Amino acid sequence: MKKWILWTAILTLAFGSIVNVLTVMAIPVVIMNQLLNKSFKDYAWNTMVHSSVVTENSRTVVRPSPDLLYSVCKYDISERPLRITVPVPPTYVSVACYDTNTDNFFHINDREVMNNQIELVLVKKGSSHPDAGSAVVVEAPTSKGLVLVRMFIPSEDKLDDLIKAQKQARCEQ
Amino acid sequence: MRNRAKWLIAVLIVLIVGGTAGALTAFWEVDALWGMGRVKSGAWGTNFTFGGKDANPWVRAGVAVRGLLALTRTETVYFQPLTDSEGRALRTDCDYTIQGKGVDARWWSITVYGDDNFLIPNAQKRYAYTMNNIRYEDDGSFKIHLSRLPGDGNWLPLGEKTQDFSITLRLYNPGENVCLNPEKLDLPKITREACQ
Repeated sequence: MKKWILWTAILTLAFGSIVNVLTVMAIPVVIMNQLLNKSFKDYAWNTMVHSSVVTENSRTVVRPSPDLLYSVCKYDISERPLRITVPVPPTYVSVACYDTNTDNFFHINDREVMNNQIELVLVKKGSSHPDAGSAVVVEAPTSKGLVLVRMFIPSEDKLDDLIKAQKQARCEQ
Repeated sequence: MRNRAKWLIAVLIVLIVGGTAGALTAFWEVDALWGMGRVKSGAWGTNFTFGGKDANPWVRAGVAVRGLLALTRTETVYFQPLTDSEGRALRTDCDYTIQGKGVDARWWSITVYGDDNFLIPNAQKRYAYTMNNIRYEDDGSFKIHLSRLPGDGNWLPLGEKTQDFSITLRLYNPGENVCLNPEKLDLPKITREACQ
């Protein structure tokens, strides 16, 4: 009788520990999946979507920065690479790529490019690299994920010009 | 037959009790442990693995819940105070002063969030100050008032709802010293003034 109880307790602890670790590891994947397929369900894949200025009504992604203009592109490079082109107005601009585990596997900012735009070609890890011309080829660990463009709003009077630049950012296959 | 029923009960206990306890404690752990590896500088703290592949599963899950789509430390460092400079929780029914100097970064900002991790609604639509729009004192320092009622100079409204709140200091393109000697950074002091 005691042996039965002991084994049940040991197996309950062992199974509980496995479920515990798997749950912790699944949380980022589930959250990113919700973001891509529910919060951004109206956004087309491989298309840049430009958000307006962040306010208290911006409630899709936690802790948004009101000093930034954001653009997002849900990527799916399972069949073809994705080209990302972002103009560089005279302010801080960065392009960050996230995999389905929420890891920021690549980022680049305006100070790291020679010309007046950031050009990337996103390819699936392990696939052959296309002729990207002047663009930087980036290998993504997962075939789906998110590209996030940030543009710093240096002052209110620069906002209109910045929005014009923001709208030129694109991603396309 | 009796032996078979006994093992069936054992399997059910393992699956139901073990599975439920494992899943529930995971959420508690993420809440409690996502700050592990936190580097402190006064009341402020950060974790240099935020956003990166080197984050452990608890930190990664915590960032997904509380700071999704964070950049890695080479691009941005996010400092957050858990308390005021005297170790007390930050509450919207108290007034605070954030006083400090600029930090070694290409640009920085200080933003206030409610307990839901979103911007606090307020009539002024004011949620943050950056190094560009803050008003500095003659000696180059700055002072930000956090309160429900309007304050002089730089003022961030805490809204009408009584809740815990949090602050994020973002350092974009941080200087080398930020990651090498974070504990030596002269980050702003957060002083609690009157409470209602």
